[in-house]
Amino acid sequence: MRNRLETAVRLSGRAARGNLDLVGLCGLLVVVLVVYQRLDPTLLEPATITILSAQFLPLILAAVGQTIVMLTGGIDLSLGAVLSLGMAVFVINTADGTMSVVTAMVIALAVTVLAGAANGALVAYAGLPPIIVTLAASFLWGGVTLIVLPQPGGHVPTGLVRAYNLGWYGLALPAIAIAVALVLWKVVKTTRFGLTLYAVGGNEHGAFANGVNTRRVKIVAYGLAGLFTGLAGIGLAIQTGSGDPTIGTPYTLNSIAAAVLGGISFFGGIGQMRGTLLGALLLGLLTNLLLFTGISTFYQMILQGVVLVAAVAVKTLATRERVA
Amino acid sequence: MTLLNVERVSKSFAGVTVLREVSFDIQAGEVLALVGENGAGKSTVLSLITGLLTPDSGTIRYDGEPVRAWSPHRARAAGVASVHQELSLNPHQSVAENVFLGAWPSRYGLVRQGDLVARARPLLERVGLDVDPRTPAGRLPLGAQQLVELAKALTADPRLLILDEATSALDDDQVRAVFRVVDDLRERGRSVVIVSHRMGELLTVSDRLTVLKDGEVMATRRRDETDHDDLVRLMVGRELSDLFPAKAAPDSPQADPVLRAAGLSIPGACAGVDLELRPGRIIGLGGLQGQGQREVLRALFGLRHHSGQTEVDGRPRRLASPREAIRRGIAYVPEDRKTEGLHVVRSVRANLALPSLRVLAPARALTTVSRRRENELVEELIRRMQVKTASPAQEVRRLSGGNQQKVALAKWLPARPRVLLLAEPTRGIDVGTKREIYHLLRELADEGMAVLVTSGDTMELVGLCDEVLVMYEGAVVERLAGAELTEERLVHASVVGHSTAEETSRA
Repeated sequence: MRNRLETAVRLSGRAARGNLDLVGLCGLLVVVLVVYQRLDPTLLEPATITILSAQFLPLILAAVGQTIVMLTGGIDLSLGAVLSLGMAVFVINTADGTMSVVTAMVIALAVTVLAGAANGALVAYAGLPPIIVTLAASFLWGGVTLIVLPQPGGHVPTGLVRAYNLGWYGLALPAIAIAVALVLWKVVKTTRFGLTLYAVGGNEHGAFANGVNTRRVKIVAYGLAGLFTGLAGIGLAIQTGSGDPTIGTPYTLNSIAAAVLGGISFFGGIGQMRGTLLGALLLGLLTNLLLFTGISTFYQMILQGVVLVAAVAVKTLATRERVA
Repeated sequence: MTLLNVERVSKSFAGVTVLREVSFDIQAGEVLALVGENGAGKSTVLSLITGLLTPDSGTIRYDGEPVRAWSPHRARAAGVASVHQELSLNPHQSVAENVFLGAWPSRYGLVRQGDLVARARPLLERVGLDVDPRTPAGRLPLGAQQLVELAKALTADPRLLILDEATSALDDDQVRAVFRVVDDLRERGRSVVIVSHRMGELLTVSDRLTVLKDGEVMATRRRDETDHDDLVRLMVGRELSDLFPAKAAPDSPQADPVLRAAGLSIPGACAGVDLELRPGRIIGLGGLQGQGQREVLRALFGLRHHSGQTEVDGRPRRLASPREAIRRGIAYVPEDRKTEGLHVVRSVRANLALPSLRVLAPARALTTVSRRRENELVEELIRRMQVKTASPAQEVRRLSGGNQQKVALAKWLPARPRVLLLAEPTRGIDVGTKREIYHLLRELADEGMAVLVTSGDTMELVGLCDEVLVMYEGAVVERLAGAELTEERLVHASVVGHSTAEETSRA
């Protein structure tokens, strides 16, 4: 019996193990969704889906960016600042008209990708710890953002804001954006670069000894994180209809929380993006749920902390055997 | 045709010369073995060939051209592939992904898992490995992981394959599979450099053998001109007048054991190890690298969960944590000084005082440490151990390896431990300091301490210890003492895995 079990486990291989971690999260998500449905029966109507996906998009994309960095064994504490920066650059460059919006997006994304790649270059070439580099960068980009956009404001075409938040010919644009971003990741993950990302995170020295250009991998990883963070900032700008130079701050820690909840290892090399997606959804839904219940925000924060620790602790204890 | 030429290459680390004017060459279609004791410089030579290190002086010619700006990347591109004892696999990626690590075959930039698996299969078959290529590499047994490394090295169809203790974790069938690969490479005009502790293997598979000793080439012999004894003589032969102190008189009355372990077992590391440590005696744990010696020490110091009985002074005591072990008078000087033995970025003073804080600040945890008493203690230890340091305030990482080791050992002395456990006490240390450490260990033993030493250096074990237990695959296979304790017997038991007596009785 035991033998058969072992064989089954071995045969199902990595896919099953990856999913096993996620089964718990999925279960938790279902529970949260059921409770949510009770409190808000419109949950599954298109309008609600549009609004919720608009609300969750920044966190999901930020967490995707954070995950990419964490897979290399790093961490990005400047994510929130870069998110604000992308948002600020976007709103000061937009005007009415499709072309101008697209141009503004491109400029904003170029800025955030460069900001990310700069982090990566410092980590890769100066050999500085990612936590220090990105902490310093968070101050730096925070300051730059305030120069670009000293106070909340800026302009996003109202037509775009309406279409994004209320649906465009019945399509939930933010949900589509999330889907596109995830497909983009899926493609990236399938490239050599994607495999290298896991290789560097799992055993950097081994990857180096096998001729992998570990420095370039890190720079590209941080740059890619910048791209997703920039997208998150643009999404947030369109959702709120304006820019705010300090609105990004909480996304730093929330993105880390989502990634950790989704099973991304702090030491790199382990974790799946679908886990991060589940983690971000859970965090977002849980926050909303607590809002419905009308508990004081203080208790909400306490509860969030407890949920996070409990989830990670359960996961660690459940998978400890593997390490020993 | 000469593929690789190493000419008068020297290399030193932190003032310690590791290689001195080393020269040898490898022909195309040749298998060359590098032989030598631990610390003879084999690994350094290999690191120079693979581009992980650059020589201080001398030249390396590859394919007739002196190599410039050699790096792992360039060496690989030039057709040098290597398999090391230390694995470079990513445990979290699949076997197939690891086989092609860094050079994944892709189509339109995309890597398809099905393709990876299909391409990995024949390579795995070639090295005699029957596993699902989709299994995460970290889940395979060590031997299988080593074969995955070999398969990985073969992906690029290397011109020069380096096998650095690549068979250390393999069973006989697996070793044969590796040798089939080596023979096949030779037939196709490829070259192989092989390093192994298992002399018999080397004499079977290689064409020539180059013997290294203390960083110098002693000789290069064709396989048909040499044999096991000849090689051992070349590896070992050297003058050692007063390197080692006199041993305890073998017929002196033996005191009761301070520490006794019976049936000590750690899953995957050692099984059923019995040992008794008595005051005044230095016991050695020998054998090939990684046969469980280190884990026995770690278990006795409470760093590894273990089963079996441990007794201190005849009373059963659980040694479940370093705290308990220290309380029972056990001290441990680990193999890796930098992570377990010392706080390298802190001062010599801080390191020496750390185990004695209870003495220096006796009353309560809140009393401050007396600077004066701390200074006295530290000065005394530095004097006694002859630690060469600019001042007690110097950072430990600025000291040479030998002086670091002295600090790692000295810090336990004020607590007057009764059992001293040392792993590889003289690794990477120059001969002069080695001598000092040997004499100090004997002094401590004479004062009534029980000492247990692991070492990969057979000469050290034979010269220093009163008795040596030889470990093989986690079990003690031989106990040598007195006149029986010779390098030949020790090496034999280490390699063969059972005692000489057993062999004669079998024959």
